[in-house]
Formats: sequence, structure tokens, C-alpha cells
Amino acid sequence: MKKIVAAFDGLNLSESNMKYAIQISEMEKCHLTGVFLDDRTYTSFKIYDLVFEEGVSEEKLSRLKHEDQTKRKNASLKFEQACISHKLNFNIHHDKNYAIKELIHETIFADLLILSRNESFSHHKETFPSRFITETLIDAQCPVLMTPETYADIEKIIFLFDGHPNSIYALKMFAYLLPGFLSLPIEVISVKSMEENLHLPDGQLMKEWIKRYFSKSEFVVLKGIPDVETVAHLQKERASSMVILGSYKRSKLSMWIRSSMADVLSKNFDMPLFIAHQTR
Amino acid sequence: MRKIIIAFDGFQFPESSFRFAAQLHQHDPILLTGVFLPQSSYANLWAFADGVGAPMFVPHLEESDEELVEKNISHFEDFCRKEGIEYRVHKDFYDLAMPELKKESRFSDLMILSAQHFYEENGGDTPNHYLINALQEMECSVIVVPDQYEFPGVNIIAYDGSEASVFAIKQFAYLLPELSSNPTLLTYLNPDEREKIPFEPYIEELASRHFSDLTISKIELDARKYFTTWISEKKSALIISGSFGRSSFSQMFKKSFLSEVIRQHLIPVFIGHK
Repeated sequence: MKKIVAAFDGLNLSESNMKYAIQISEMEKCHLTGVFLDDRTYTSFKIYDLVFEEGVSEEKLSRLKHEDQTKRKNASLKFEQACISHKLNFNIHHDKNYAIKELIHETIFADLLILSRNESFSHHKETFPSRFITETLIDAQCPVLMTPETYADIEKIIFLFDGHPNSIYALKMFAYLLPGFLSLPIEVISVKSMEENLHLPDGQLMKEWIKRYFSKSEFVVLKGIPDVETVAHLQKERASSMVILGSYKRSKLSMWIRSSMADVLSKNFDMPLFIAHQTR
Repeated sequence: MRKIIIAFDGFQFPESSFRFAAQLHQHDPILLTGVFLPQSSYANLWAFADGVGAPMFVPHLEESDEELVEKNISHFEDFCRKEGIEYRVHKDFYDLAMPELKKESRFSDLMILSAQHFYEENGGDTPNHYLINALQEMECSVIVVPDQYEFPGVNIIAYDGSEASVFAIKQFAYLLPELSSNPTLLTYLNPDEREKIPFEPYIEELASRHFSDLTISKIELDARKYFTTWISEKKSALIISGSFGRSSFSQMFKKSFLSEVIRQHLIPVFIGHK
């Protein structure tokens, strides 16, 4: 039995993330741990809301704090009820320290993290990807399934293969963790530069491995710039496809200069992304 | 279905690795890939990986060597046919360098290495430079099997609270689920009695999902001095351990109890690798 961790912001519960977590745990017969990141430094109100003409209202502060507490409690209750109604093995963690640190620690002791792509743990509006998402993807110690805003049943798997060890690692982890999806058709997409030939990178080895796990596989090799070609090719895909990709553990500077494929896909599509990278 | 690779030098025939693969095959069919590397190029295999700038001379195989390798390949094929194992032969003869073996491991689930034969002709300490390098560079999990062993009936997890040791536990559970139902002992070795098991509630929560018969205990032993004595009493056991960081790998490895276990050819060792 595997242990899936689903992370939630109790002040803004993501319903679709909860649904993905429950459906997958039910299908794969996993133990589901709901991690509610009740970060003490994060509230639903802004400090500015407390200020009025005579200074800061203590009374208002305690009222707002109480409201936040109730909201968080209701969110975890909702999760609990959903798990009970699906007869899942589950438990709940309330982590009260800095959200990002707590979550990374949880991922060491988890097989898979399921997280909504919209989490930011900030009351400021952040454009995607939020700092929270970026840091989680870089430092997570287990694969991450990043879920979109709306839920859709998965009917197809798409694997973005760039020949880099990280992408094979992501595919292996997918096969080990979610065997229930192996009967679905898989499309392997590779993008090569204009000068290269149209052979799949390490084609023979790749096919030898993939045939052990997936029964229906299709291989597509495109030419051009990876970000552009992948987005163009995926236009026809629907939200019912899940995309697997390896992500780089890159330095902050290079993240700054060029967004990663995961960011590009999340901006353009409403598909769940399965992301894994080697951390060494 | 898992894809398992056995890498060997073409001269030696590591019976124990094959026996281990065949025993795994009985639980769940495998694809066994024999990666045949000629002995004469072994030294160069690792040398290339060191990134020496100057071009190097790769000695070609002697004709008699080639015959011997062919003989071993046919032995491998006979073995697989007899056991009913689906197999492939990859001859990475002339383009031989560390990246080749590394690439093979990238597209495999598990690699089985023989503790004695993988490097035998090259001499040196056991586990020698070649094996340590292999454990460091591979991109899939590795099982190191001694010549004489009993098929594992007990698992011993060497847990130290590190990310690598938890990663190894997860990999083992994914790759060898048939062994996860065996009695499993999760040990934290520390001679200091004030030290508690790190993150005990977390590791308990994770490990008990994967191992149905799990005991967690702290053993107050000096790992380096007494662990091998303790382990030698545990016949039919298998150790699960995380790998060490790439930078300090060889020093750390040589100082660790794992190196002793492999050196004394005691029991199989599973090293979870990313």
C-alpha cells in the first residue's frame, strides 16, 4: 500500500485537488494523508484590514483569527467526510510552521504528492507559478501530481521525452506508483532540433522498457523548439490527458531566465501534470 | 513486468546473479537483459567516466577473448531459455565507456551485480573501485549479491533519517513487492542511547503501508564494529540501504558497514538509486 500526500490550504480548499486525490487513492488502494498547511504566518486577512483610525483593533484581530480557524476546521472536516464516504484509509496532518518547509518534509515520507497548481499560501494575488509552487517543484522529495482547477477523469497518458535521465526517471516513477493507469494508451512525444534526424532518442532501449509496462504505446517525434512544438501538438488534447515530464532541479537564476516546460504547460492547458526529478 | 539487467565482463559467469534473477522471475515474470562488457576494456570503462581530457586508446578484444565472450553469451541464453525468462543480449563491445552502462541502467528497473565477480580480474580491495563506482553512477536501484546466499526471507532496513534511506525504502517497495510481505526490521543504528529514531511517526506511517510485518527498533551498536557480526547471524536476510551522496560517496561508503557486508560476502544488499 502506498502513501499519497494531498496538500491543502484550509483557507481556500481546492475541491478539484481533493477529488483527484480521492479518486486516485481509491483506484490504487492507497493510504491518503491530507496535509493541511495551517501556516501561522498566513492568514486570510491582510494586516491593513486591521488598521482603522485609532490604530489596530485587537478585537477585530481576534475575530478574524477565529474566523480563519473555523474555516480551516471546516475544510479538514470536509476532507474527512469525503474520505469516509469513499471508505479510504486516511489520516490528517495539521502542520503549523512555514508551509513550504513543512510540505517538503512531508514529501520525504510520501510516495506521491498531489497539489493544486493554484496554491500560493499568500493573500496577495500571484501569477502562475506562485513562489510556493516553484519551490515545491524544485525541492520535493517525491513525485508531484499538479492538478488543474477542474476535475476530469483520466483517459490518456502523454509522456514528454527529451532524452534526459530526468524524464525517464519520471516515467519509471509513474509506472511504479500508479499501475492502475498503465492500461491507458500512452503517447511519447519527443521534440528534436531541425538538424537532427527523426529517430526517437535511445529508441530501442526506450521501447524495450515501455513495452514491459504499457500495452498501448505511440511514438511521435517533432522538429523545432520544444516549448513551441509541444504546445502546438497538445492543442488537440483535452483535460482528460495526464502529462508526465521530468523537471530539472535548476538554479534560481536559470528559472528566472527561462520558464520550465511544466510552467509552459500549466499556463496553456488544463491537464494534470505528473512531475518528478532526481534530487541528487 | 520488470526489466532487470545483469552486467558482467564476459569472462566470469556470475551464477549467483542469475539465480537471484530466476528466483524473482518465479514471483513475477521479468525481462532479463545481459549487458556484455569485455574484460580488457574494464579499466578504460571507468577511466572514461573520470573525464580525462586526452583521447584514450581502447584495446580491442583478442580473438580468443571474443570466443570466450560468445561462449558466455550462449550460456546466458541457455540459462534464460531453461528458466523460461524473456531475455535480450546487449553487446556494448567497442563503444565501451561508463556512459554505456549508465545508459543501460537508465532504461532498467533493477540491476543485479555480483559482489565477487564484477571486478575480480582487476584485483584490489573488496568492494573495489569498480564496484563502488558502479554503485555511485547507476541510474536504477542495484542489488549486490554474494556467491553464497539464501533467497531473502527477512528484510533489514538501514534507516538513518536521511532522504536517501527513505528513498531506498520506497524503491524497494515498488520494485520488489513480493519481498515486502516478508518480516521486516527497520533499524536505526546509533550507539548513543540518548538519540531517538529520527522522525519516528513519519517513517512509521510510511513504512507500515509498504511492509505488512514491520518492526521498528533502535539498535545501540557501533555500526562499523558490530553490525557485520550481528548481520552474519541473520541468514536469508537482505539489507535495504540508501546510497550516499555523489560527492563524498567513496569515502563514506568505505567507512560504512555496507562496505563490510559486501566485503565479507554476507548477504544481498539493495541500494536504492535515483
